[in-house]
This record gives sequence, structure tokens and C-alpha cells, in this order.
Amino acid sequence: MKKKPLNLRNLAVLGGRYEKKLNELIKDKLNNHSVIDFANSEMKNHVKILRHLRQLNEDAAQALNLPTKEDIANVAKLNMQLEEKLDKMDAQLSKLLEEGRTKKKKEKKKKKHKDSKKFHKQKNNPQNENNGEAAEVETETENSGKKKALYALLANPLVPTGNEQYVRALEDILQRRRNNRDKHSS
Amino acid sequence: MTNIPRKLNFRSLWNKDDLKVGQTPRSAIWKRNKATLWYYPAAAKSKKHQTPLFLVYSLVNQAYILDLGPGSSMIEGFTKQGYDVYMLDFGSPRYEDKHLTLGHYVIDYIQTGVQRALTHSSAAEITVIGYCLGGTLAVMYAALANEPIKNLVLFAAPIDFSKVPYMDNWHKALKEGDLKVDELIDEYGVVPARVMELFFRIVTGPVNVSPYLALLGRSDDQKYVERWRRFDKWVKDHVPFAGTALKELIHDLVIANKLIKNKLVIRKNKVNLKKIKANLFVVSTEGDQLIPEEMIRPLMDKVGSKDKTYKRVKGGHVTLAIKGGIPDFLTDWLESRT
Repeated sequence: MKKKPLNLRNLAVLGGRYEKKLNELIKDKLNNHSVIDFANSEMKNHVKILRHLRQLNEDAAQALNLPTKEDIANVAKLNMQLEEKLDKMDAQLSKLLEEGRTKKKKEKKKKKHKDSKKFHKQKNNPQNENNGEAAEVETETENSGKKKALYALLANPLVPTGNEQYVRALEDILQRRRNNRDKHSS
Repeated sequence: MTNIPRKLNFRSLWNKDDLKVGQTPRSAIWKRNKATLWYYPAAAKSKKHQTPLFLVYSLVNQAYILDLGPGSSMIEGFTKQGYDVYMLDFGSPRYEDKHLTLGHYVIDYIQTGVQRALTHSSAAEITVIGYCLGGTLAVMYAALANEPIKNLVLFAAPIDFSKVPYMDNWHKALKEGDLKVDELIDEYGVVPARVMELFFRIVTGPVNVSPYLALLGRSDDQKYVERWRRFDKWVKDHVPFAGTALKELIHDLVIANKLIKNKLVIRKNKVNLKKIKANLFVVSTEGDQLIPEEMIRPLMDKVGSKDKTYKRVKGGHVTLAIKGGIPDFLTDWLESRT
């Protein structure tokens, strides 16, 4: 039988096969109670050495008036706490801003909905439109009521442009704006 | 062996220093202590999905394995498919972090991170993807979450520790109290990365020559050599483990197996797996020596999700993460749920 030439790819396959066997053998040997007991006792020794070294380090640091690892960690913790507080404040601020934005959006949506409802109502029943509108303007609070009436009238294509109510409302708003401007400039 | 000298020209590649990892464009949107929440925007030309992805990587290794390099990056694959990706990188804990508990990781980091991602993306829901131990933490979070988690995807996440199929005598010794590690962990405060590396080498394979032989076999392939070097860098780049969290993991998960029994308590809240209602997708790989099927599959019967899928595929512990792109089965699953 002709032997296959040994190239690098074959070597990789062969290596992989032996590696697997070797690893299984090692794991099998390690998965043993005596190894576990040995590891346990060595771990205890290791802990003792670590503790001793840490103690020495702390003593030396104290004598030399140097901060220990623990001291630096405590400072870092303070920094972390500060960062956490800032992060919480940032989150609260974002939440408030988001709430504000959603509120505005909701109001806008509500208004749009109300206007379109009114428009459809008036469209369906053009006879009652002026009476209903007039009654609403009277019941609304002073400024916002008039503004709303103005917008409603503007949005309503069935209302004639020369409507007295519309002109009065417009004049009122302009006057209020003028007054405000004068107040600010003075 | 005649082709060895011809192939040894890879030495120039080997000595190249500019070995970059994590090259997908990203920006940090939130930081706390050593943790960073990275944002990878969806590629401009792709169709954008409504539900962003939130990736949680393990506490044991560096998270850049998910973005190893161009062509071998899962994150790159997600962004190319039109997903906004958020990745929580826990960073490397130091001595001052020895007090960090599972509660810190689940509530302070993952939950806050998800909230930040939701605010940043203005999305109504989010998909949480957990890898390895990050998957275990993601499960704990999903069971406690108030946030709208639409999907939960898990890759090789250890959940059930009732039967660890390797080094069983060590597991038994731990359970019966014959092996005590608390004192050592306390003394270290934060378990050094070298100790973590040693532990995983023993569990997965103490002798590790086949990757080097594979490299030698394909040493004339520049792309392979670069990818190999990046992966090798990651394999050796373990991170230290916060002592308190490690003790909790050993006692609550490895010894008492509380997570799968719905007995785990995090910050006075019981982690009840039945409360997980998100669509669940669990992936395990056939060649995974670290997290075999027995440690993840039992989760399927414990969650409250109506839509749940379990998939077993070929590959090792991190094969899917470094293969490049997203596997087709995941694309299909996510596509119909985002």
C-alpha cells in the first residue's frame, strides 16, 4: 500500500487527534480524589502565604507612610459612589425630559383630535355650528379659551371670514401680546 | 514535510504589531465604573429594523470577540442586516470591585443599560442577546425585568448545573464541601485573569497544540493568519473576576443550582424563570466542551415564553461569534420577530 505523504494539513489532523487523547488522559488523571485533596491543602498553604505577604505589605506601607492597596481601593470606591450618584441624576433628568416631551406630544395629539372632532361635528351639522362655538367660547377661561376659539374658527372652513366673533378674538389676542411686550420692554 | 520552508513566510505577518480588534464603527453612550455601553448604528444602506439588539457578553473574557475584525464579526453582521446594536462591555474589574455581586451586574449594569438603550433608540421594545455567562445574567435579568423585552436569544449560556459533565469529582467535592475556595477568593479579592485562564485551560484542554498546527498548515493564507492571531489574542486575554460575584456563582449556581430551581434571589427579588415571557431562542453547539447541551437545554421547559425555539448547530463555544456575519437560522428567526 502506498503511504500518504505527510504534509502540514495532515499533521494538523494527526496532532488534533493525539491532542484530544492526551487531554482526556490528563483530565481523567486530574479528576481524582487524591488530586482534589492535594489541591485543597495546597490552596490552604497558598492562602496562608498570600495573607502573610499582604500583612507584610501593610506593615511596610504603614512604616513608610504609604497608602496600601486597600486605601486606594477605598478612594476608588468613593469615586464610584460619586459616579453612581451622577448617573442616577442623569437618568432622572432624562426621564423628566422624556416625560415633558411625551406630555407635549399627548397635548398636541389631544388638541388635534379635539379639533378634528369639532370639525366633523360642524360639518355634519352646519346649522348649530355658530351657536355651539359661541357657547364654548364663553365657558372657556379668558386667554386660552379665546385662543382656542380662534384656532377652531380658523380651522373651520364653514365659518365666514368676516365673522365678528373671529375678529374680536383676534383683536383680543393681539392686544394681550402688545401688553406683554410693553411690560417686558419697560 | 517539503512545503514547510515555503510556508514559513508568514513570519512577517506574525511579527506585525498593528493587530486591531473591534473595528465596527461605534460610540459609547453610557459608562458606569468599568462598564461601557457601546452603540453600533445600523449600516446606512440596510433596511432598518425597529427593535434594537442588546448584547451581553460574559464576565470571563473580553467582549471584543463579538467584533474581532472585519469579516469575522457578529456585530458587523447585525449592523449590515439593519439592526441597531448595543453592547454592554463589563470591562476589567480591579481590586476596588471585589464587592461587586450578581445584583450589581444584573440590576445596575444590565437593567440600567437596557433602559439607556431604550431611551437612546426611542424603540418600544428590545431584543436581548446573551453569550456564555452573559447569557446566564441575561436570563436572570429577563426574569426580573420591567422593560419591554421582545426577544431573548442565548448562546451557550450555562443555566442548569445539576450535572456538570466534566471534572465531575471536583463538582461533587464542591457540593459536599470537601473543596473550599472561599478563603482563596476572599484573599485575592478579585481573582486574577491568569487564574481564570488556568481554570478554563484545565476544563477545556490542558494541551493545546492543534491551533498552532492548523496555523502552520495554512500559514500562506494571510487572512487566516490575521484572524488566527486576533483569536489567539482573545483566548489569552482573560479578565479578572470580582470575588463576591464569583462566590455567589459557585454557591448559588454551581453548588445549589438555584437558577433552574427558581430559588435564586437577587436584591430581594426571586428569579422566577416562568416570568420570562419574551420570545426565546436558545443555541447550543455540538463541539462546545465548556457548556454542553445538558447545561442549557433544561431552560426550555422552565420559561413562560409561548414562542420558544431550541437549535443545536455544529461548532465550538465561540465559533458562531467569529464566523463572520450572522448564521442564517438566526437571521430568519430575528427577521420575523423584530
